[in-house]
Amino acid sequence: MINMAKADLYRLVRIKSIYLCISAISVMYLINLITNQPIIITAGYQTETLSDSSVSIDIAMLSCNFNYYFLMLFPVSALIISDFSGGMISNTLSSFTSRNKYFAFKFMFTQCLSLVLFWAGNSIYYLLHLICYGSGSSAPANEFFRLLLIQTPIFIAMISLFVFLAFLIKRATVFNTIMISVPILYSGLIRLLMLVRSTKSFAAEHLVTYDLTTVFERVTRLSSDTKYLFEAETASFLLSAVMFLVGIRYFNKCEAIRE
Amino acid sequence: MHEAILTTNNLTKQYGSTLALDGADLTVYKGDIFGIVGRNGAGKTTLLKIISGLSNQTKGEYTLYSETGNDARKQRRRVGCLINEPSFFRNMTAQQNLKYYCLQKGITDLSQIDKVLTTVGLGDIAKKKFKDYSTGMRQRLGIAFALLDSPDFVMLDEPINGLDPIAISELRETLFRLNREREVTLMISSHILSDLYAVANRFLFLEKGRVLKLISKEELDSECSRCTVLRTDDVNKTVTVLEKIVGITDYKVTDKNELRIFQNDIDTIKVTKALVQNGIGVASIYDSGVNLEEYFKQLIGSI
Repeated sequence: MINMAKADLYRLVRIKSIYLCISAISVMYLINLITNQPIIITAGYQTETLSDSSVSIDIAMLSCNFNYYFLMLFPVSALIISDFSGGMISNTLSSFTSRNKYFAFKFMFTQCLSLVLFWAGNSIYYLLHLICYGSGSSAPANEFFRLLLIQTPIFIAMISLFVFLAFLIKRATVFNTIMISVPILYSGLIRLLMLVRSTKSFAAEHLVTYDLTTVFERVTRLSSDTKYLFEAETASFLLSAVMFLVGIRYFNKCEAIRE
Repeated sequence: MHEAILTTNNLTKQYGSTLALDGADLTVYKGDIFGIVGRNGAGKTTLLKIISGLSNQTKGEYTLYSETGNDARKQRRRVGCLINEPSFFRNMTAQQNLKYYCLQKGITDLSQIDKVLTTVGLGDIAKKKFKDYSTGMRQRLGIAFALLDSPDFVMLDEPINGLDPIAISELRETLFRLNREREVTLMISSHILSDLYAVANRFLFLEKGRVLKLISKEELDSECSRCTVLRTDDVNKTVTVLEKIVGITDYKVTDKNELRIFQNDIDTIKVTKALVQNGIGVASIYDSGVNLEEYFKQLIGSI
Protein backbone atom coordinates (compact mmCIF):
# COMPACT_ATOMS: atom_id res chain seq x y z
CA MET A 1 0.00 0.00 0.00
CA ILE A 2 2.87 2.38 0.81
CA ASN A 3 4.39 1.64 -2.59
CA MET A 4 1.07 2.31 -4.29
CA ALA A 5 0.75 5.58 -2.39
CA LYS A 6 4.26 6.60 -3.46
CA ALA A 7 3.40 5.80 -7.07
CA ASP A 8 0.11 7.69 -7.02
CA LEU A 9 1.74 10.70 -5.35
CA TYR A 10 4.36 10.66 -8.10
CA ARG A 11 1.58 10.67 -10.68
CA LEU A 12 -0.60 13.16 -8.82
CA VAL A 13 1.65 16.13 -9.57
CA ARG A 14 1.35 15.29 -13.27
CA ILE A 15 -2.45 15.18 -13.41
CA LYS A 16 -3.94 18.28 -14.98
CA SER A 17 -7.40 17.77 -13.52
CA ILE A 18 -6.02 18.04 -9.97
CA TYR A 19 -4.70 21.51 -10.82
CA LEU A 20 -8.05 22.26 -12.43
CA CYS A 21 -9.81 21.20 -9.24
CA ILE A 22 -7.54 23.39 -7.08
CA SER A 23 -8.11 26.30 -9.49
CA ALA A 24 -11.89 25.85 -9.30
CA ILE A 25 -11.79 25.81 -5.49
CA SER A 26 -9.60 28.93 -5.51
CA VAL A 27 -11.90 30.77 -7.94
CA MET A 28 -14.94 29.86 -5.85
CA TYR A 29 -13.43 31.27 -2.67
CA LEU A 30 -11.93 34.23 -4.49
CA ILE A 31 -15.36 35.29 -5.76
CA ASN A 32 -16.70 34.93 -2.24
CA LEU A 33 -13.88 37.04 -0.82
CA ILE A 34 -14.41 39.75 -3.43
CA THR A 35 -18.20 39.88 -3.23
CA ASN A 36 -18.46 38.80 0.42
CA GLN A 37 -21.42 36.67 -0.61
CA PRO A 38 -21.72 32.88 -0.30
CA ILE A 39 -21.22 31.05 -3.57
CA ILE A 40 -23.41 28.08 -4.27
CA ILE A 41 -22.94 25.86 -7.32
CA THR A 42 -25.83 23.51 -6.62
CA ALA A 43 -29.30 23.87 -8.03
CA GLY A 44 -30.61 22.35 -4.81
CA TYR A 45 -32.44 23.92 -1.90
CA GLN A 46 -30.30 26.03 0.36
CA THR A 47 -31.89 29.29 1.09
CA GLU A 48 -32.32 29.58 4.83
CA THR A 49 -28.70 30.23 5.78
CA LEU A 50 -28.06 32.39 2.77
CA SER A 51 -30.96 34.66 3.66
CA ASP A 52 -30.17 34.68 7.38
CA SER A 53 -28.22 37.89 8.05
CA SER A 54 -27.32 36.79 11.58
CA VAL A 55 -25.03 34.12 10.16
CA SER A 56 -21.51 35.27 9.32
CA ILE A 57 -20.45 34.94 5.68
CA ASP A 58 -17.74 32.36 6.40
CA ILE A 59 -20.25 30.10 8.18
CA ALA A 60 -22.74 30.67 5.34
CA MET A 61 -20.01 29.67 2.93
CA LEU A 62 -19.29 26.61 5.06
CA SER A 63 -22.94 25.59 4.81
CA CYS A 64 -22.54 25.72 1.01
CA ASN A 65 -19.97 22.92 1.12
CA PHE A 66 -22.14 20.82 -1.13
CA ASN A 67 -20.16 22.73 -3.77
CA TYR A 68 -17.45 20.13 -3.18
CA TYR A 69 -19.77 17.53 -4.64
CA PHE A 70 -18.99 18.88 -8.10
CA LEU A 71 -15.38 19.75 -7.37
CA MET A 72 -14.48 16.31 -6.04
CA LEU A 73 -15.49 14.65 -9.29
CA PHE A 74 -12.08 15.73 -10.63
CA PRO A 75 -9.88 13.72 -8.21
CA VAL A 76 -12.17 10.66 -8.32
CA SER A 77 -12.06 10.67 -12.10
CA ALA A 78 -8.31 11.23 -12.18
CA LEU A 79 -7.40 8.60 -9.58
CA ILE A 80 -9.87 5.82 -10.36
CA ILE A 81 -11.76 6.21 -13.62
CA SER A 82 -8.62 7.00 -15.62
CA ASP A 83 -7.16 3.64 -14.53
CA PHE A 84 -10.18 1.85 -15.95
CA SER A 85 -10.77 3.87 -19.10
CA GLY A 86 -7.08 3.95 -19.99
CA GLY A 87 -6.67 0.25 -19.20
CA MET A 88 -3.82 0.89 -16.74
CA ILE A 89 -5.61 -1.15 -14.11
CA SER A 90 -4.58 -4.30 -15.98
CA ASN A 91 -0.92 -3.35 -15.50
CA THR A 92 -1.41 -3.01 -11.76
CA LEU A 93 -3.59 -6.04 -11.16
CA SER A 94 -1.79 -8.41 -13.50
CA SER A 95 1.35 -8.86 -11.52
CA PHE A 96 1.56 -7.55 -8.04
CA THR A 97 -1.60 -6.24 -6.43
CA SER A 98 -4.68 -8.11 -5.30
CA ARG A 99 -8.08 -6.66 -6.04
CA ASN A 100 -8.80 -6.22 -2.33
CA LYS A 101 -5.64 -4.22 -1.84
CA TYR A 102 -6.26 -2.18 -4.96
CA PHE A 103 -9.80 -1.23 -3.95
CA ALA A 104 -8.85 -0.52 -0.34
CA PHE A 105 -5.92 1.62 -1.46
CA LYS A 106 -7.91 3.62 -4.00
CA PHE A 107 -10.71 4.09 -1.46
CA MET A 108 -8.37 5.43 1.18
CA PHE A 109 -6.13 7.43 -1.11
CA THR A 110 -9.07 9.18 -2.77
CA GLN A 111 -10.53 9.90 0.67
CA CYS A 112 -7.22 11.32 1.87
CA LEU A 113 -6.69 13.50 -1.17
CA SER A 114 -10.28 14.75 -1.10
CA LEU A 115 -10.06 15.47 2.63
CA VAL A 116 -6.83 17.41 2.14
CA LEU A 117 -8.51 19.51 -0.56
CA PHE A 118 -11.66 19.95 1.56
CA TRP A 119 -9.87 20.94 4.74
CA ALA A 120 -7.20 23.02 3.03
CA GLY A 121 -9.79 24.83 0.92
CA ASN A 122 -11.99 25.69 3.89
CA SER A 123 -9.12 26.52 6.23
CA ILE A 124 -7.32 28.81 3.78
CA TYR A 125 -10.62 30.48 2.95
CA TYR A 126 -11.32 31.08 6.65
CA LEU A 127 -7.90 32.64 7.17
CA LEU A 128 -8.20 34.84 4.08
CA HIS A 129 -11.70 35.91 5.10
CA LEU A 130 -10.42 36.78 8.56
CA ILE A 131 -7.57 38.81 7.07
CA CYS A 132 -9.84 40.58 4.55
CA TYR A 133 -12.86 41.30 6.74
CA GLY A 134 -11.55 41.14 10.30
CA SER A 135 -12.70 39.15 13.28
CA GLY A 136 -15.93 41.20 13.55
CA SER A 137 -17.26 39.73 10.28
CA SER A 138 -15.85 36.25 10.83
CA ALA A 139 -16.91 33.41 13.06
CA PRO A 140 -14.56 32.40 15.91
CA ALA A 141 -11.98 29.90 14.71
CA ASN A 142 -13.10 27.19 17.15
CA GLU A 143 -16.71 27.52 15.94
CA PHE A 144 -15.72 27.41 12.25
CA PHE A 145 -13.48 24.37 12.64
CA ARG A 146 -16.00 22.60 14.92
CA LEU A 147 -18.58 22.90 12.16
CA LEU A 148 -16.04 21.80 9.56
CA LEU A 149 -15.31 18.75 11.69
CA ILE A 150 -19.04 18.00 11.92
CA GLN A 151 -19.28 18.14 8.14
CA THR A 152 -16.32 15.81 7.63
CA PRO A 153 -18.14 12.44 8.06
CA ILE A 154 -20.79 13.60 5.57
CA PHE A 155 -18.05 14.57 3.15
CA ILE A 156 -16.35 11.17 3.63
CA ALA A 157 -19.67 9.40 2.95
CA MET A 158 -20.08 11.43 -0.23
CA ILE A 159 -16.59 10.49 -1.44
CA SER A 160 -17.22 6.83 -0.50
CA LEU A 161 -20.27 6.87 -2.74
CA PHE A 162 -18.19 8.45 -5.52
CA VAL A 163 -15.49 5.79 -5.21
CA PHE A 164 -18.04 2.98 -5.27
CA LEU A 165 -19.77 4.43 -8.32
CA ALA A 166 -16.44 4.99 -10.05
CA PHE A 167 -15.59 1.29 -9.64
CA LEU A 168 -19.09 0.35 -10.76
CA ILE A 169 -19.35 2.63 -13.80
CA LYS A 170 -15.70 2.62 -14.92
CA ARG A 171 -16.31 5.08 -17.77
CA ALA A 172 -15.47 8.77 -17.39
CA THR A 173 -18.21 10.19 -19.57
CA VAL A 174 -20.95 8.03 -18.04
CA PHE A 175 -19.70 8.71 -14.51
CA ASN A 176 -19.53 12.48 -15.00
CA THR A 177 -22.88 12.62 -16.75
CA ILE A 178 -24.61 10.68 -13.99
CA MET A 179 -22.92 12.54 -11.15
CA ILE A 180 -23.65 15.97 -12.60
CA SER A 181 -27.19 15.26 -13.72
CA VAL A 182 -28.42 13.52 -10.55
CA PRO A 183 -28.44 16.62 -8.27
CA ILE A 184 -29.96 18.70 -11.06
CA LEU A 185 -32.71 16.15 -11.66
CA TYR A 186 -33.19 15.74 -7.91
CA SER A 187 -33.75 19.43 -7.29
CA GLY A 188 -35.84 19.64 -10.46
CA LEU A 189 -38.09 16.93 -9.07
CA ILE A 190 -38.46 18.80 -5.79
CA ARG A 191 -39.44 21.99 -7.63
CA LEU A 192 -41.88 20.08 -9.80
CA LEU A 193 -43.54 18.42 -6.82
CA MET A 194 -43.88 21.76 -5.10
CA LEU A 195 -45.36 23.39 -8.18
CA VAL A 196 -47.83 20.60 -8.82
CA ARG A 197 -49.11 20.50 -5.27
CA SER A 198 -48.78 24.30 -4.88
CA THR A 199 -47.98 23.65 -1.23
CA LYS A 200 -45.06 21.70 0.20
CA SER A 201 -45.94 18.08 -0.36
CA PHE A 202 -44.86 15.31 1.98
CA ALA A 203 -42.71 13.72 -0.73
CA ALA A 204 -41.06 17.02 -1.62
CA GLU A 205 -40.28 17.75 2.00
CA HIS A 206 -38.68 14.35 2.40
CA LEU A 207 -36.68 14.86 -0.76
CA VAL A 208 -35.47 18.19 0.61
CA THR A 209 -34.58 16.62 3.97
CA TYR A 210 -32.40 13.96 2.36
CA ASP A 211 -30.87 16.30 -0.20
CA LEU A 212 -27.12 16.45 0.42
CA THR A 213 -27.31 20.24 0.06
CA THR A 214 -29.74 20.35 2.94
CA VAL A 215 -27.69 17.96 5.04
CA PHE A 216 -24.55 20.11 4.68
CA GLU A 217 -26.55 23.20 5.53
CA ARG A 218 -28.47 21.75 8.46
CA VAL A 219 -25.51 20.23 10.25
CA THR A 220 -23.87 23.63 10.01
CA ARG A 221 -26.83 25.81 10.87
CA LEU A 222 -28.53 23.51 13.35
CA SER A 223 -25.44 22.00 14.93
CA SER A 224 -27.17 22.26 18.32
CA ASP A 225 -29.95 19.95 17.07
CA THR A 226 -28.30 16.83 18.46
CA LYS A 227 -30.96 14.43 17.15
CA TYR A 228 -30.56 15.54 13.54
CA LEU A 229 -26.81 15.68 13.95
CA PHE A 230 -26.70 12.15 15.36
CA GLU A 231 -28.85 10.84 12.51
CA ALA A 232 -26.76 12.58 9.86
CA GLU A 233 -23.44 11.45 11.31
CA THR A 234 -24.62 7.86 11.86
CA ALA A 235 -26.02 7.65 8.34
CA SER A 236 -22.70 8.99 7.01
CA PHE A 237 -20.64 6.41 8.88
CA LEU A 238 -22.97 3.63 7.76
CA LEU A 239 -22.94 4.77 4.15
CA SER A 240 -19.13 4.93 4.14
CA ALA A 241 -18.84 1.43 5.60
CA VAL A 242 -21.45 -0.02 3.26
CA MET A 243 -19.85 1.57 0.19
CA PHE A 244 -16.48 0.15 1.20
CA LEU A 245 -17.75 -3.37 1.86
CA VAL A 246 -20.09 -3.57 -1.13
CA GLY A 247 -17.45 -1.99 -3.35
CA ILE A 248 -14.71 -4.43 -2.37
CA ARG A 249 -17.06 -7.39 -2.82
CA TYR A 250 -18.27 -6.14 -6.18
CA PHE A 251 -14.75 -5.44 -7.43
CA ASN A 252 -13.64 -8.93 -6.44
CA LYS A 253 -16.37 -10.49 -8.54
CA CYS A 254 -16.41 -8.20 -11.57
CA GLU A 255 -14.20 -8.20 -14.65
CA ALA A 256 -11.39 -5.77 -13.97
CA ILE A 257 -11.03 -4.70 -17.56
CA ARG A 258 -13.65 -4.28 -20.21
CA GLU A 259 -13.94 -6.90 -22.92
CA MET B 1 12.76 -33.56 -16.17
CA HIS B 2 11.59 -30.05 -16.98
CA GLU B 3 10.27 -27.86 -14.19
CA ALA B 4 6.64 -26.90 -14.79
CA ILE B 5 6.08 -23.17 -14.42
CA LEU B 6 2.38 -23.17 -15.17
CA THR B 7 -0.15 -25.98 -15.26
CA THR B 8 -3.84 -25.50 -15.88
CA ASN B 9 -6.46 -28.06 -15.05
CA ASN B 10 -9.87 -27.86 -16.71
CA LEU B 11 -9.67 -24.06 -16.78
CA THR B 12 -13.06 -22.75 -17.85
CA LYS B 13 -14.47 -19.27 -18.25
CA GLN B 14 -18.04 -18.43 -19.07
CA TYR B 15 -19.31 -14.92 -19.83
CA GLY B 16 -23.09 -15.21 -19.57
CA SER B 17 -24.03 -17.83 -22.13
CA THR B 18 -20.69 -17.61 -23.96
CA LEU B 19 -18.08 -20.20 -23.14
CA ALA B 20 -14.85 -18.26 -23.66
CA LEU B 21 -12.57 -21.01 -22.39
CA ASP B 22 -13.68 -24.63 -22.21
CA GLY B 23 -11.68 -26.87 -19.90
CA ALA B 24 -8.18 -25.88 -20.98
CA ASP B 25 -5.39 -28.18 -19.84
CA LEU B 26 -1.81 -27.19 -20.53
CA THR B 27 1.64 -27.13 -19.02
CA VAL B 28 4.35 -24.57 -19.62
CA TYR B 29 7.85 -25.72 -18.72
CA LYS B 30 10.80 -23.63 -17.62
CA GLY B 31 12.64 -22.31 -20.67
CA ASP B 32 9.71 -22.73 -23.03
CA ILE B 33 8.66 -20.18 -25.58
CA PHE B 34 5.06 -21.24 -25.51
CA GLY B 35 2.90 -20.01 -28.37
CA ILE B 36 -0.88 -19.77 -28.09
CA VAL B 37 -2.47 -19.77 -31.52
CA GLY B 38 -6.10 -19.07 -32.27
CA ARG B 39 -8.40 -16.87 -34.22
CA ASN B 40 -9.97 -13.73 -32.76
CA GLY B 41 -12.27 -14.81 -29.95
CA ALA B 42 -10.65 -18.24 -29.62
CA GLY B 43 -9.95 -17.70 -25.91
CA LYS B 44 -6.27 -16.67 -25.99
CA THR B 45 -6.68 -13.43 -24.05
CA THR B 46 -9.18 -15.04 -21.67
CA LEU B 47 -6.60 -17.69 -20.77
CA LEU B 48 -3.92 -15.06 -20.17
CA LYS B 49 -6.33 -12.85 -18.23
CA ILE B 50 -7.19 -15.67 -15.84
CA ILE B 51 -3.57 -16.50 -15.17
CA SER B 52 -2.66 -12.85 -14.74
CA GLY B 53 -5.51 -12.28 -12.29
CA LEU B 54 -7.54 -9.92 -14.43
CA SER B 55 -10.38 -12.38 -14.66
CA ASN B 56 -11.65 -15.16 -12.42
CA GLN B 57 -12.15 -18.63 -13.84
CA THR B 58 -15.62 -20.14 -13.69
CA LYS B 59 -14.23 -23.65 -13.18
CA GLY B 60 -10.88 -25.38 -12.88
CA GLU B 61 -7.63 -24.20 -11.41
CA TYR B 62 -4.07 -23.37 -12.31
CA THR B 63 -0.74 -23.99 -10.67
CA LEU B 64 1.91 -21.32 -10.89
CA TYR B 65 5.37 -22.23 -9.62
CA SER B 66 3.85 -25.26 -7.87
CA GLU B 67 1.34 -23.12 -5.99
CA THR B 68 -2.42 -23.07 -6.45
CA GLY B 69 -5.24 -20.77 -5.36
CA ASN B 70 -4.24 -17.75 -3.29
CA ASP B 71 -0.65 -18.93 -3.09
CA ALA B 72 -0.47 -18.96 -6.89
CA ARG B 73 -1.63 -15.35 -6.89
CA LYS B 74 1.32 -14.46 -4.70
CA GLN B 75 3.65 -15.96 -7.31
CA ARG B 76 2.43 -13.42 -9.88
CA ARG B 77 5.16 -11.12 -8.70
CA ARG B 78 7.52 -13.35 -10.66
CA VAL B 79 5.45 -12.93 -13.80
CA GLY B 80 5.62 -10.05 -16.27
CA CYS B 81 2.49 -9.41 -18.30
CA LEU B 82 1.26 -7.50 -21.27
CA ILE B 83 -2.44 -8.25 -21.67
CA ASN B 84 -4.59 -6.53 -24.31
CA GLU B 85 -3.15 -3.45 -25.91
CA PRO B 86 -0.46 -1.57 -23.97
CA SER B 87 -2.06 1.00 -21.67
CA PHE B 88 -0.15 3.81 -20.03
CA PHE B 89 -0.71 7.36 -18.83
CA ARG B 90 -0.92 9.46 -21.96
CA ASN B 91 0.56 12.63 -20.55
CA MET B 92 3.56 10.92 -19.04
CA THR B 93 6.74 9.92 -20.85
CA ALA B 94 7.82 6.29 -21.21
CA GLN B 95 10.36 6.82 -18.45
CA GLN B 96 7.80 8.40 -16.11
CA ASN B 97 5.30 5.65 -16.80
CA LEU B 98 7.83 2.96 -15.96
CA LYS B 99 8.95 4.89 -12.88
CA TYR B 100 5.32 4.93 -11.72
CA TYR B 101 5.18 1.13 -11.98
CA CYS B 102 8.60 0.75 -10.36
CA LEU B 103 7.35 2.75 -7.38
CA GLN B 104 4.19 0.68 -7.33
CA LYS B 105 6.13 -2.58 -7.38
CA GLY B 106 8.61 -1.29 -4.82
CA ILE B 107 11.55 -1.57 -7.21
CA THR B 108 14.34 0.51 -5.78
CA ASP B 109 16.84 0.04 -8.60
CA LEU B 110 15.47 2.64 -11.02
CA SER B 111 18.39 2.10 -13.40
CA GLN B 112 16.51 -0.87 -14.81
CA ILE B 113 14.04 1.56 -16.42
CA ASP B 114 16.71 2.62 -18.90
CA LYS B 115 17.88 -0.98 -19.28
CA VAL B 116 14.46 -2.35 -20.26
CA LEU B 117 13.80 0.64 -22.53
CA THR B 118 17.10 -0.01 -24.28
CA THR B 119 16.29 -3.73 -24.52
CA VAL B 120 13.11 -2.95 -26.47
CA GLY B 121 14.76 -0.22 -28.51
CA LEU B 122 13.11 2.78 -26.89
CA GLY B 123 16.24 4.11 -25.21
CA ASP B 124 16.49 7.14 -27.50
CA ILE B 125 12.86 8.20 -27.18
CA ALA B 126 12.34 7.46 -23.51
CA LYS B 127 11.47 11.09 -22.81
CA LYS B 128 8.71 11.23 -25.38
CA LYS B 129 5.14 11.27 -24.06
CA PHE B 130 3.14 8.06 -24.44
CA LYS B 131 0.44 9.85 -26.44
CA ASP B 132 3.03 10.73 -29.09
CA TYR B 133 4.15 7.10 -29.52
CA SER B 134 3.26 5.09 -32.60
CA THR B 135 1.46 1.74 -32.24
CA GLY B 136 4.74 -0.14 -32.54
CA MET B 137 6.43 2.03 -29.92
CA ARG B 138 3.50 1.50 -27.56
CA GLN B 139 3.77 -2.22 -28.07
CA ARG B 140 7.46 -2.12 -27.23
CA LEU B 141 6.80 -0.02 -24.13
CA GLY B 142 4.29 -2.67 -23.08
CA ILE B 143 6.98 -5.30 -23.42
CA ALA B 144 9.40 -3.11 -21.47
CA PHE B 145 6.80 -2.91 -18.71
CA ALA B 146 6.48 -6.70 -18.69
CA LEU B 147 10.24 -6.99 -18.29
CA LEU B 148 10.43 -4.72 -15.22
CA ASP B 149 11.69 -6.43 -12.08
CA SER B 150 13.40 -9.17 -14.13
CA PRO B 151 10.54 -11.68 -14.20
CA ASP B 152 11.19 -15.42 -14.70
CA PHE B 153 8.02 -15.85 -16.72
CA VAL B 154 6.61 -13.34 -19.21
CA MET B 155 3.16 -13.49 -20.80
CA LEU B 156 2.62 -11.37 -23.89
CA ASP B 157 -0.78 -11.03 -25.52
CA GLU B 158 -0.41 -10.45 -29.25
CA PRO B 159 2.86 -8.51 -28.91
CA ILE B 160 3.42 -8.50 -32.67
CA ASN B 161 0.26 -6.49 -33.38
CA GLY B 162 1.01 -3.20 -35.03
CA LEU B 163 4.72 -3.83 -35.52
CA ASP B 164 6.42 -3.34 -38.86
CA PRO B 165 8.52 -6.21 -40.29
CA ILE B 166 11.79 -4.83 -38.97
CA ALA B 167 10.30 -4.29 -35.54
CA ILE B 168 8.93 -7.84 -35.60
CA SER B 169 12.37 -9.17 -36.42
CA GLU B 170 13.92 -7.07 -33.63
CA LEU B 171 11.28 -8.22 -31.18
CA ARG B 172 11.94 -11.82 -32.13
CA GLU B 173 15.64 -11.29 -31.41
CA THR B 174 14.79 -9.67 -28.08
CA LEU B 175 12.58 -12.60 -27.11
CA PHE B 176 15.24 -15.13 -28.10
CA ARG B 177 17.84 -13.19 -26.13
CA LEU B 178 15.65 -13.07 -23.04
CA ASN B 179 14.95 -16.76 -23.33
CA ARG B 180 18.54 -17.84 -23.89
CA GLU B 181 20.53 -15.35 -21.86
CA ARG B 182 18.19 -14.68 -18.96
CA GLU B 183 16.32 -18.02 -19.08
CA VAL B 184 13.00 -16.21 -19.20
CA THR B 185 10.07 -18.50 -19.95
CA LEU B 186 7.74 -16.87 -22.44
CA MET B 187 4.08 -17.40 -23.22
CA ILE B 188 3.02 -15.51 -26.33
CA SER B 189 -0.35 -15.40 -28.01
CA SER B 190 -1.01 -14.58 -31.63
CA HIS B 191 -3.53 -15.30 -34.34
CA ILE B 192 -0.74 -15.63 -36.88
CA LEU B 193 0.90 -19.06 -36.68
CA SER B 194 3.83 -18.15 -38.91
CA ASP B 195 4.80 -15.31 -36.56
CA LEU B 196 4.76 -17.63 -33.59
CA TYR B 197 6.46 -20.43 -35.49
CA ALA B 198 9.54 -18.22 -35.80
CA VAL B 199 9.97 -17.96 -32.03
CA ALA B 200 8.04 -20.62 -30.14
CA ASN B 201 9.12 -24.18 -29.35
CA ARG B 202 5.69 -25.40 -28.22
CA PHE B 203 2.26 -24.52 -29.53
CA LEU B 204 -1.24 -24.54 -28.13
CA PHE B 205 -4.05 -24.31 -30.66
CA LEU B 206 -7.29 -22.81 -29.38
CA GLU B 207 -10.62 -22.50 -31.11
CA LYS B 208 -13.94 -21.44 -29.60
CA GLY B 209 -12.41 -21.75 -26.15
CA ARG B 210 -11.35 -25.36 -26.67
CA VAL B 211 -7.81 -26.68 -26.79
CA LEU B 212 -7.44 -28.27 -30.22
CA LYS B 213 -3.87 -29.40 -29.94
CA LEU B 214 -0.77 -28.96 -27.83
CA ILE B 215 2.36 -29.87 -29.80
CA SER B 216 6.05 -29.22 -29.96
CA LYS B 217 7.75 -27.53 -32.89
CA GLU B 218 9.18 -30.90 -34.04
CA GLU B 219 5.71 -32.42 -34.03
CA LEU B 220 4.34 -29.45 -35.91
CA ASP B 221 7.09 -29.78 -38.51
CA SER B 222 6.32 -33.46 -38.82
CA GLU B 223 2.60 -32.83 -39.22
CA CYS B 224 3.19 -30.22 -41.87
CA SER B 225 5.64 -32.32 -43.89
CA ARG B 226 4.66 -34.35 -47.00
CA CYS B 227 2.97 -37.57 -46.04
CA THR B 228 0.01 -39.86 -46.62
CA VAL B 229 -2.64 -39.61 -43.94
CA LEU B 230 -4.44 -42.86 -43.20
CA ARG B 231 -7.55 -43.03 -41.03
CA THR B 232 -8.83 -46.44 -40.01
CA ASP B 233 -11.02 -47.98 -37.32
CA ASP B 234 -8.14 -49.90 -35.73
CA VAL B 235 -4.76 -48.23 -35.74
CA ASN B 236 -2.95 -51.12 -33.99
CA LYS B 237 -4.02 -53.68 -36.58
CA THR B 238 -3.23 -51.14 -39.30
CA VAL B 239 0.35 -50.85 -38.05
CA THR B 240 0.76 -54.64 -38.17
CA VAL B 241 -0.61 -54.87 -41.70
CA LEU B 242 1.54 -51.97 -42.91
CA GLU B 243 4.73 -53.41 -41.46
CA LYS B 244 4.25 -57.11 -42.15
CA ILE B 245 2.22 -57.18 -45.36
CA VAL B 246 2.82 -53.88 -47.20
CA GLY B 247 6.35 -53.35 -45.86
CA ILE B 248 5.99 -49.74 -44.72
CA THR B 249 8.08 -48.76 -41.71
CA ASP B 250 8.38 -44.95 -41.94
CA TYR B 251 5.16 -43.88 -40.30
CA LYS B 252 3.88 -42.20 -37.17
CA VAL B 253 0.68 -42.77 -35.23
CA THR B 254 -0.79 -39.29 -34.71
CA ASP B 255 -4.19 -40.11 -33.26
CA LYS B 256 -6.18 -43.14 -32.02
CA ASN B 257 -7.56 -43.52 -35.56
CA GLU B 258 -4.90 -41.82 -37.60
CA LEU B 259 -1.37 -42.43 -38.75
CA ARG B 260 0.93 -40.66 -41.18
CA ILE B 261 3.14 -42.46 -43.64
CA PHE B 262 6.25 -40.53 -44.62
CA GLN B 263 7.50 -43.02 -47.22
CA ASN B 264 7.36 -41.57 -50.74
CA ASP B 265 5.40 -43.02 -53.66
CA ILE B 266 3.34 -45.53 -51.77
CA ASP B 267 0.68 -47.41 -53.69
CA THR B 268 -2.50 -46.28 -51.91
CA ILE B 269 -4.66 -48.87 -53.76
CA LYS B 270 -2.37 -51.67 -52.56
CA VAL B 271 -2.43 -50.34 -49.00
CA THR B 272 -6.24 -50.00 -48.97
CA LYS B 273 -6.72 -53.49 -50.38
CA ALA B 274 -4.37 -55.01 -47.80
CA LEU B 275 -6.15 -53.26 -44.95
CA VAL B 276 -9.64 -54.20 -46.13
CA GLN B 277 -8.62 -57.82 -46.72
CA ASN B 278 -7.46 -57.95 -43.10
CA GLY B 279 -10.82 -56.69 -41.83
CA ILE B 280 -9.76 -53.08 -41.16
CA GLY B 281 -12.24 -50.33 -41.98
CA VAL B 282 -10.55 -47.51 -43.95
CA ALA B 283 -12.14 -44.15 -43.36
CA SER B 284 -9.81 -42.16 -45.59
CA ILE B 285 -6.42 -42.19 -47.22
CA TYR B 286 -4.98 -39.04 -48.77
CA ASP B 287 -1.79 -37.18 -49.51
CA SER B 288 -0.99 -34.35 -47.10
CA GLY B 289 1.72 -31.80 -46.64
CA VAL B 290 0.73 -28.31 -45.81
CA ASN B 291 2.09 -24.93 -44.98
CA LEU B 292 1.43 -23.49 -41.55
CA GLU B 293 -1.60 -21.52 -42.66
CA GLU B 294 -3.22 -24.55 -44.28
CA TYR B 295 -2.39 -26.67 -41.27
CA PHE B 296 -4.09 -24.15 -39.00
CA LYS B 297 -7.14 -24.03 -41.28
CA GLN B 298 -7.34 -27.83 -41.37
CA LEU B 299 -7.09 -27.99 -37.62
CA ILE B 300 -9.90 -25.49 -37.15
CA GLY B 301 -11.94 -27.24 -39.82
CA SER B 302 -11.60 -30.53 -37.98
CA ILE B 303 -13.90 -29.42 -35.16
